[in-house]
Amino acid sequence: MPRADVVVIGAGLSGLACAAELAGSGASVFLAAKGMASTHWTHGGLDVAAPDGASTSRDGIARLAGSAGHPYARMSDHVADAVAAHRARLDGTAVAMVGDLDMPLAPIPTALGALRPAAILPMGQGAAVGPWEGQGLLLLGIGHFRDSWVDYAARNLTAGAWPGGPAEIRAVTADLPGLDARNNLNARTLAVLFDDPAWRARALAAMAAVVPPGAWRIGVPAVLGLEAHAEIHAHAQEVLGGAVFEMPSLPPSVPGVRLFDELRRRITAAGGRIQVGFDVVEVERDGRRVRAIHTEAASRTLRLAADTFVLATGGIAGEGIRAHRGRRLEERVFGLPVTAPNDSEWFSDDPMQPHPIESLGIDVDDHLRPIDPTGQPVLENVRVIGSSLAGMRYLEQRCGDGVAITSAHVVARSLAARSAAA
Amino acid sequence: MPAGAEVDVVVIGGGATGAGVLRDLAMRGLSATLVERGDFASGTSGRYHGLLHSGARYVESDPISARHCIEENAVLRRIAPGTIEPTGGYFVATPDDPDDYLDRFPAACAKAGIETEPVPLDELFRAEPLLSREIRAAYRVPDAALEPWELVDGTLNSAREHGATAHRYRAVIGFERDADGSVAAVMTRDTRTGEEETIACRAVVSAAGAWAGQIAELAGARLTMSPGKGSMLIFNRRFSTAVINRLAPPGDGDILVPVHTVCILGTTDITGEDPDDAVVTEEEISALLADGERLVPGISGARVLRAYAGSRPLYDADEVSGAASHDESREISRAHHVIDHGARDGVGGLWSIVGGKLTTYRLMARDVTDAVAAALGNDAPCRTADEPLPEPAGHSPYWLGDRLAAIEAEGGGDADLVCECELVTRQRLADALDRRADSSLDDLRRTTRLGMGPCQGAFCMPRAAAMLDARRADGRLHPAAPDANVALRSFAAERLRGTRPIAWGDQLTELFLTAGIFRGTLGTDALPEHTGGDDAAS
Amino acid sequence: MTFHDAAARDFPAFSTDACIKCNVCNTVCPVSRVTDEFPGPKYVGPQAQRFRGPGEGSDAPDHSVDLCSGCGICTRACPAGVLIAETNNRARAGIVEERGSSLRNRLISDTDLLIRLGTPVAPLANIGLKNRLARWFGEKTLGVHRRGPLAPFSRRTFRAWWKREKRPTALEAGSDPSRTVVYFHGCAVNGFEPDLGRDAVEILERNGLTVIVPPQECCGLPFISNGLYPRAREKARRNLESLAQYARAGYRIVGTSTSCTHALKAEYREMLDLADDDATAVADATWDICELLVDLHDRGELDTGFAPIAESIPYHPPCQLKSHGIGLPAMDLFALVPGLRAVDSDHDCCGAAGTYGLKAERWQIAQDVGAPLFAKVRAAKAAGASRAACDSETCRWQIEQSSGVPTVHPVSILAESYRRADEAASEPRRRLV
Ligand SMILES: Cc1cc2nc3c(=O)[nH]c(=O)nc-3n(C[C@H](O)[C@H](O)[C@H](O)COP(=O)(O)OP(=O)(O)OC[C@H]3O[C@@H](n4cnc5c(N)ncnc54)[C@H](O)[C@@H]3O)c2cc1C
Ligand SMILES: Cc1cc2nc3c(=O)[nH]c(=O)nc-3n(C[C@H](O)[C@H](O)[C@H](O)COP(=O)(O)OP(=O)(O)OC[C@H]3O[C@@H](n4cnc5c(N)ncnc54)[C@H](O)[C@@H]3O)c2cc1C
Repeated sequence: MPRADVVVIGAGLSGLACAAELAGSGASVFLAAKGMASTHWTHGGLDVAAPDGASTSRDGIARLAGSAGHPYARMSDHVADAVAAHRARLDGTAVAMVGDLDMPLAPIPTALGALRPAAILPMGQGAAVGPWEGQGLLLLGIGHFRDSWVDYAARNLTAGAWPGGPAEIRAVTADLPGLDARNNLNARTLAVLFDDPAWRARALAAMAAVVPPGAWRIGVPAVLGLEAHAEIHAHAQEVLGGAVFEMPSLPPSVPGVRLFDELRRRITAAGGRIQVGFDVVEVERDGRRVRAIHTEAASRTLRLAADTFVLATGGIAGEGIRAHRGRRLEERVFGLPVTAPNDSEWFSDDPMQPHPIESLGIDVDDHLRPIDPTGQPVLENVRVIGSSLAGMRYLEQRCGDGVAITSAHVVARSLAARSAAA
Repeated sequence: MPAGAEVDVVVIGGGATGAGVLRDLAMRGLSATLVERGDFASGTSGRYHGLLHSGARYVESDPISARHCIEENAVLRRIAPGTIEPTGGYFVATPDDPDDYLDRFPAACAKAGIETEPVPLDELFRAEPLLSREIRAAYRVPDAALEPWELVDGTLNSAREHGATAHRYRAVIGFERDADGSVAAVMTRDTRTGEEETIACRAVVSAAGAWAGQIAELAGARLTMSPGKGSMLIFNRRFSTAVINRLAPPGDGDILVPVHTVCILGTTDITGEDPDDAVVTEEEISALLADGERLVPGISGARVLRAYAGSRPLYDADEVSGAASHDESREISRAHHVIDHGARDGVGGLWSIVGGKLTTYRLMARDVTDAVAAALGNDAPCRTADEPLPEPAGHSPYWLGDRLAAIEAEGGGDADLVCECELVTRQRLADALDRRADSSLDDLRRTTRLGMGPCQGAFCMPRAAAMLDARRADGRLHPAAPDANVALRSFAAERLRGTRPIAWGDQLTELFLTAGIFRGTLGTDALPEHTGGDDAAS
Repeated sequence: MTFHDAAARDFPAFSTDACIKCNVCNTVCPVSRVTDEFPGPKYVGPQAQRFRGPGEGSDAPDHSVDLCSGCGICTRACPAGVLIAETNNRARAGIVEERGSSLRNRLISDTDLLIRLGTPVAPLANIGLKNRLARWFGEKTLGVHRRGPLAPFSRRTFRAWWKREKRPTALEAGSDPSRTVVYFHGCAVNGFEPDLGRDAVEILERNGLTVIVPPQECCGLPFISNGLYPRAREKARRNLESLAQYARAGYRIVGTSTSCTHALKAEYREMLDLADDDATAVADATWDICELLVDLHDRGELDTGFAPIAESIPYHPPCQLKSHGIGLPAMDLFALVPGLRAVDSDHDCCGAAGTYGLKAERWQIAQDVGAPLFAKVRAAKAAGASRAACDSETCRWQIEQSSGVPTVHPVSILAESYRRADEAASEPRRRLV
């Protein structure tokens, strides 16, 4: 195995973004990951910062940067650059992003009919934001698809307060060709169906037939194709006669799969290598430096040597950090110290509210190197990015994606600068 | 006797015992109604270990219980085969178990009428490959897995067929008593609407299990319960095909029961906790796992889905029988006791039935019904052991693979699965809602297993809530039923309550994924308290 | 959960406990992408497993798991480390154990038998393979699809050639483990593609390695994929018996089929529960040939005198190769050949999945799975590629038959480059024929 300048561990948003940026800058990059993760689970938008009370993402960043220990406290100056870099990567693709840091955070409807704040979204979801100005919201569901609940969502949206919201909220459901006879149906199988031009034409016609007269912005399940999404989205707006936006529901997230695929293509096109499917099982160290990692393989492990190792293994959900019985937390690749909230109780009683435990993670210095409780770097050539970082509660603060791409950018830029200097 | 009694007998408590009493009364021709403060079988009957006892566990410590168990074991197999998975059971001796117990066990079982059969170890390990190879002896016993919700459901349905009525979400809040102190009516309150209703009656049976003391107090009678908390762990999969018991005097993590897709390890036994506040502690979990390791090595590294606790309806033996005092609740007799509060406390017309096992629920019901019927001048014989219960929908007797086999027989696939983990189809939920239009999601769970698998509802909760909402919109939901958002929130809270104590490893990962789906993608932190009217949907 | 934890534990399919139901597997499955008949990896894997009972083969209530092609893509995508495809395979074995297997499956799995029957009458047999009527008949009577990817029998097996050439079948006195390798040729080389075997030996010898070919049989993978574990175990045990002595003595076992080598590395232990010392020694000693050549290169021991091949070649890394977890060694080697541009197919699966694509009832699924790949290969040909490359035989045959573009093993391209170098230097080495 030829040695790489950088080995990135983890194929979530942070690892992919970091590898793409590094590969793009000419570094040799090997990305090794155990599996796919939060791209395939989340809504596919770019949540940069929307803590309670924030008016824009930029305002949100400032608020979060003000709280000690939050990853933005170290990186707030780089968020704008990171967002720009990320957008540049995706421009011209079907997952190109719309919106920016200074756009007012707008409440957008979720598949369940709650509102969540958003500003930067993939093109296919873009029409969810922006002033309603007398337009109506039409939720257009898909019959037989168990993750489309438009009537319920419409009733919830009507029941909740939505200042400046649509003039009217309606739900309709279309039966698409052949779905009633299918044994298996999920967001991905629907997206694959939409990729087929012949089926798509009939499906969009069936959807158009249920659109009532009026000026609508139309929310549809996030299943408008994987390969041909841009084309399908345009086609849908044309046929349905209004701006169309996708509404992500339960995983799998089709918008996230598109994003994953696009970033993966970016990395390999720039000469980077990706291997998904294998855990890191061994680390070779040399004092405070990591010489190589080994990934699990069918028999002997695969040794990956590099100058720098980027840990992008996610938090608990991505399984970069595991909790053992008795509240013992383990960072699974390097055994780094994990910081958890001191609260005696890790969980709240209310499943809809934040759990204190959510802020757990790895503490880092300004170079995003892991540190011990005294503030000393534990490993000099390791950088930690994404949701492995301690100090945020990404669901509550809606900053998970922003922290992921910003930390990825900070690390990629400093490493690229170094390898250019070398 | 008060004139204008609405029913002959009010039964308090909709667990197995209360349901059994209602059925027995009705089959003897007495008019009866049952009130339960929560859902049926949501008390101890829905929080027990899942075992149809052979009685072998109690051959030494409680021979009366043992005999009751084996007799009723045979009866239930006859009258309710659809609620029983005939897994069989083993008693296995680990190196830690006393030799003398092992030596005495077969004879003690024989004396109690429990058939045992020594099992060669190689045969045991072939049948149960995950058991510890340190096990040194094994006996086969007629244990089985018993499905409580279907049993209670079937028992209530049978009672209804005989003219009785049963009401859930109706709590007893007091009694009206005659001048002579005997009960004349039961005061109840609908726990969802707050509506109060008094039911005049000639007699009352308190089958309130661990809460029987509270009921007695409301009536001015005396009954000191000594509820024994028992905690259990649910694992993600079966580790055995049969029930596995330790061949030793009853201890903590000494029984493993395969129940549907999971297996349940239990139980601890802690005396005197409030039955409404049964929290599983870290110490209990450690004790259970340590003991479980002796049966299935590696079990403490396996995925635990939930922890839960039930409250044993044990009474203070001294008070009831004047027997010698015992310091451990496990040594208090598991056998049941009928208390005639008229004779004992001067509160005529009130009987309590306490103690016993779920396995012996029918026998308990018979004994208390005998007493009540005699007092009411009814001399019809008990027929509950002769007449089978109405079949639960779909299977008889059930086996692990039946849901999967049924779906596969229809072509397979997931399109109609609402709960993917437990293979709950849209149709199954719709049927459950047709039968009980006032169900919450948690009520649906009990009869369908909705949300009881590894994801603990992450995927099925919103899907099922949407179903509730659709039914509410077209008027098919009972007005007292919670709306979809209330149901969703309370179900999520209920699921979280069981995962919190064991939130490590895979189950914590699952919890984070669930939080991400709910709050991240679906925005449930901002879900309106109630869903709106149906003007929105066309 | 790592592969080895799972295999080491006494818990069959224990890894399914880790499933968080997240649906990642459902987004990557190539079979559920093209057919509604297959419920997808989550349903047939960790989900169904909870309804199957703890013993292998007990109470198998399901059948749709049989549509799993075993490509393993789900296992690699799973963030929780669930061995999904492996679980499915075991479940299939359970079903076979309970309900038996078709004659067709038993026959197409028994490649040693097919070769024994086919090679002596190769010309005739090959006419049969090409004859539409005979293939139609084979489909109707056996259920082998008339257009299923089958390669023609070679007239002489690789082993027969080896014997005729009096090449070593055992160690010679004074052998050096670092300079001698054991070649595991597999059925494909033995019965259908002996030239590939000769290319491999040529390359190994050119790089200073002595090659020995001890007795060996089919690795057993076709039996494993068809759930016929007892037959697979027979094959595996005999191979282990023959190979373990070399492995223990430090000799490397090299294969040109990523399927066979994966069976030696992983399946013997993970599926067949042959987790004894012999199996571990053989697993640890087994190398895919490209993996070995890259290792030589890393040590500076590879002859890099490759002559240019000015061509852009589509390369499809097969699923089995990806399951090795060794990266893409063929790509590293292609990079050493001047002028050669190998283009990763960037496509999940060709559809063949061993014997899956042969079966009458699966053929269309296999075609649909591979269709985008065939299109890419055809486009590459239109743009000037003379061939495609792929490390696994059944995938090569599938790609070749479905795209019409000749498809070769990467080492055949390397061998050609070496030969050109020799020709250019006008000192041609003896070519093995
Ligand atoms: C369900 C869900 C919903 C969310 N919703 C929101 C939201 O609405 N708003 C918001 O701001 N944020 C949200 N987040 C958070 C946000 O998505 C993440 O913070 C962000 O995507 C960054 O992820 P990541 O790259 O750090 O890690 P992940 O996406 O978790 O990826 C981790 C990667 O590391 C790999 N890995 C782990 N261990 C190893 C190992 N030992 N060896 C090799 N590889 C390994 C994994 O396989 C995976 O590829 C959500 C997260 C989840 C899980
Ligand atoms: C940990 C544990 C494990 C066990 N394992 C087994 C086993 O494996 N096999 C076995 O046979 N037995 C087992 N048992 C015993 C068995 O579970 C109980 O004996 C049996 O369930 C008791 O049923 P019940 O109907 O008497 O009580 P419950 O099921 O508790 O019913 C009493 C009902 O009264 C209701 N109630 C309370 N107050 C009021 C009020 N004011 N108004 C109206 N309703 C009221 C409650 O809500 C409750 O539903 C176990 C018990 C425990 C605690």
